[in-house]
Amino acid sequence: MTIEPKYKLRYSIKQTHDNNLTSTVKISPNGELIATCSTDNSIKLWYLKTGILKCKLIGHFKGISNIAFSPNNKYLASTSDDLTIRIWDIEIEKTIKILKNHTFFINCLKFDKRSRILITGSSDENIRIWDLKRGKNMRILSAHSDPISSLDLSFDDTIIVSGSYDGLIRLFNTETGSCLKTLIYDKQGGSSFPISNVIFSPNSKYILSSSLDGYLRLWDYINNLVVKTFKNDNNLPIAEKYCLGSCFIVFNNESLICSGNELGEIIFWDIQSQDIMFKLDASEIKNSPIMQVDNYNDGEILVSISLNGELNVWNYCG
Amino acid sequence: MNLSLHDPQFITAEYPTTLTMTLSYGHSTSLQFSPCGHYIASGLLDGTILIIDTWTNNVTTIIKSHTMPITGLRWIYNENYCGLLSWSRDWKICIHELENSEINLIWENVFTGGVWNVDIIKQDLTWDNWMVIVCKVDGGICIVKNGEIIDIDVGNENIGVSLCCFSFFNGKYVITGTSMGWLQIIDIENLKVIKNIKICNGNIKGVEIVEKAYYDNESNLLFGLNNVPINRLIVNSSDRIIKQYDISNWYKEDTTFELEIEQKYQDVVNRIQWNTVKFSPTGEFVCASSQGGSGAAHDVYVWETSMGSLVQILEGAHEELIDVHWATRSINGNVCCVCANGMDSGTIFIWGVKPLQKWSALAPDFEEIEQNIDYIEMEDEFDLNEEIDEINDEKIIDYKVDVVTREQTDARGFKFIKGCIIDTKI
Repeated sequence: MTIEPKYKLRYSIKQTHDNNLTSTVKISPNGELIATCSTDNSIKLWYLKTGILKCKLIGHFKGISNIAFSPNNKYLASTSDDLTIRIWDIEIEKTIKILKNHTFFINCLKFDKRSRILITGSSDENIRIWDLKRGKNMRILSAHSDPISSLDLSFDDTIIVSGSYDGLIRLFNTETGSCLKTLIYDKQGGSSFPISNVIFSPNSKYILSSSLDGYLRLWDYINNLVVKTFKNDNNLPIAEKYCLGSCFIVFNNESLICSGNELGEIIFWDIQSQDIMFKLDASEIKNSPIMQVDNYNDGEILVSISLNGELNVWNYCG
Repeated sequence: MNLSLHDPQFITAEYPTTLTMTLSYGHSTSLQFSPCGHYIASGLLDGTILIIDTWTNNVTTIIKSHTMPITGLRWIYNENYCGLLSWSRDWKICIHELENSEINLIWENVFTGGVWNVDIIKQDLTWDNWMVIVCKVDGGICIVKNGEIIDIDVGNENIGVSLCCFSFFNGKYVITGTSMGWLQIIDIENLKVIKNIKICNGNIKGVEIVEKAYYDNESNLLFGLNNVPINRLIVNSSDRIIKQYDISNWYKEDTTFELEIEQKYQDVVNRIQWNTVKFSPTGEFVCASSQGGSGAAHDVYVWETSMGSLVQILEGAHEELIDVHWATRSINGNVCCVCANGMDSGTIFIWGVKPLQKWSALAPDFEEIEQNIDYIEMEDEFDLNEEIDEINDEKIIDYKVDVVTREQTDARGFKFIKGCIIDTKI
C-alpha cells in the first residue's frame, strides 16, 4: 500500500561541504539550527528557517564521523577520526573542551537530558561516559567485541542502548555502567549481522535497530522479542554497507518510522502494518546513501543528508 | 525506567545498607535531596549553597545569597515549578526560583533575630500565592504571604518558644514544637491556634508528618503519596525518646486532633540524643542521626515504623552526623538513598544499595542458577527442526505496539517524578 508522500521538500542544499563526503546531519532541539559534518574536517551550522550558513567550525584534523546538539541548545559535540571529541560552544563558535582517551575511531555520541554527561562509542570497542564539566572520563563500558556503531538513551536517561558490529544490542544502566540485558537476533543463519543503528522509541519501551542484513527491527526489549520487521520492497536490502540513521515520526498522531536507504531514498513504514507507506527522493545522484534522517518536534520537520553532501529539509504536510 | 531490567532483590530493597559515596565540597551544615533525586542542595559554613549533581558528583550551581552558616534548606517542588528555600544564621530567609534552567533569587528578608526553622505551606505551590512559616529565635511565629510578614498570635499560655514547624493537610494547618514540650496546631486560614498538646518535658527539636494520598470528591489527588500506609507524625525531643504517632483521625471532619502513640524509639543503654529525625518518603521507615558524646557511635539508625524494630545502622562516618535526609525514590535509578553531613569536616555521606552485575545479562541464552543441576538431555533435543522457527516468525505479525505512551509508574508502582533540570556550565 502506497499513499501520497506526507512530506514536501522545503529547500535543498546540493553541496553542503563542496565536493567532500558528509557523515551526518542534526537539528538543534529548539529547531533553529542544522549541523552537518564532513570528511573535510569541518562542521557547518545552518539556520533551519532560511538555509543560510551560520558558521563553519574548524578544529578537528581528521574527518568528523558524528555530531550531537546538547538538549539545552548551548553546545555541540563532535566525534572525529583524530580520536578526539570536541565540545563547541554554539554562541561563541569555538571549541571549549577536547576529550581524549579513545584509542580508535569514534562513531557515535549522545548527550543526556541535563547536558552534563556525554556518552560516546568507538571502534576501540568501548563506550565511554564523560563528565563534561570536569572534561574527564567517568566510566568505560567494555562489553562489545567489535566497533560500536550506534547508541541511544532512554527518555529518562537511565538506560543506554548500544549496537555493535559484533551483532549484539546491549542495554546498560547509565548510573552504574552495569550491563542490564543483551539482545541478539540469531533466527536466520545462526550468527547475527552487524548492528548499524539503534534508537529508542519515544516512550523508550521499544528499540528500533538497523542491521547490515538489510532490515530494520523493532524490539520489545523487556520480553526479548522482535515485534516488527521492516523491509525494503523488491527484496532489496535497506543497507548492507553503511550505518544509516532512522527515526520515529509521531507528530500529528502519525505512527511511522523512516530510514534512508543506499539508493538515495527515504522510506516510510507504518509501524503497525510494517508496510511501506511512501518514499522520498532525497538525492539527485541515485546511488548516494542517505546517511541520516533527523527530525524536529517528533516529525514536523525532517532533514536528510546524503553521503555526497546533499541536504534536504522536508515539511510535514499531512 | 530501567528498574524492570534489574535484579528483583535490588529493586525491592527498602532501605540503604552500604556507604556508597562521600562528598567533600566545603563544610556542609545542612542538606536536602531534590524531590526528583537528581540533585543535593548543600548549605555550607560560609553561607554558600551548592547544588550537587548526583550522577557526576559535580557542583552544578553555586548560590551566594547568605553570609553565615546555612541552617536549613527546603526544595519547593511540583510538576511545573521548582525552587529552593534557605535560611541561615545571618537571620535571612531566601527563596530561589528555577527559571530557564537557572536558579535566581526572587525574595529575601532579614529578620530582626535568628530563625529556628522554616517550612513551606504547600498551597498549590504557585508562586503568586506562596506562603512560608517561620519560627523565630526571639519568640513567636510568623507567616510570609506574598512577601508580606504576618505575625501569628500563639496565645498567652506559657508553652515556650516554637523551635520547629511542619505544614500539613495541603497547607491547611501547621504543627509546631516548642521548647517546653508542647505541640501546637495552627489553622492557617484563620491564623489561629486550635490546639495545644503537652507531650514531654524537654525541647521539641523536630517534627515531621507523612501523609497518605488524599483525594477530593472528584478523586483528584490533592496531596500525599499513595505508598504511605498510615498518616504519621514523628517528634524528636531532648528527652532522648523519638515518639511516633498515628494521626489518621486528624484528616476527618470535626477532628479534635487526638494523638495516638504508635512507637517510641530510644537507645536504652547509651541514652543517645538524636540530632535529626526524618521519615522515609513513604513513612515506612524512620532514620535518625545520633549526637556525639564519647561512647556514641557516629551512625544513622534506621527503624521500621509498623513494628518499631531497628533494621539497620548505617556505619562508615567517622564523625558526628548533624543533618540527615532520606531521598525520595527517583527516576534516576536511585532505589533508596540516605545522606547525612558530618559535624567536624562537613563531608556529605551517602548510603545506598549497590546493584550487582548480573552475568546472565551479558549473554541472552545464559541463566543464573542457585546451585548445580544435573541436566538430562532429551532424545530429540538437538534434532534440527527448521519448521518451528518459521511458525515463531508467523506469530509475531499482529503484535500491537504503542511507541508513544509512557509508563505512569515504575516497576515498583511509584509514580514517575518529572525531574527539574538545572544547567551545568561546562
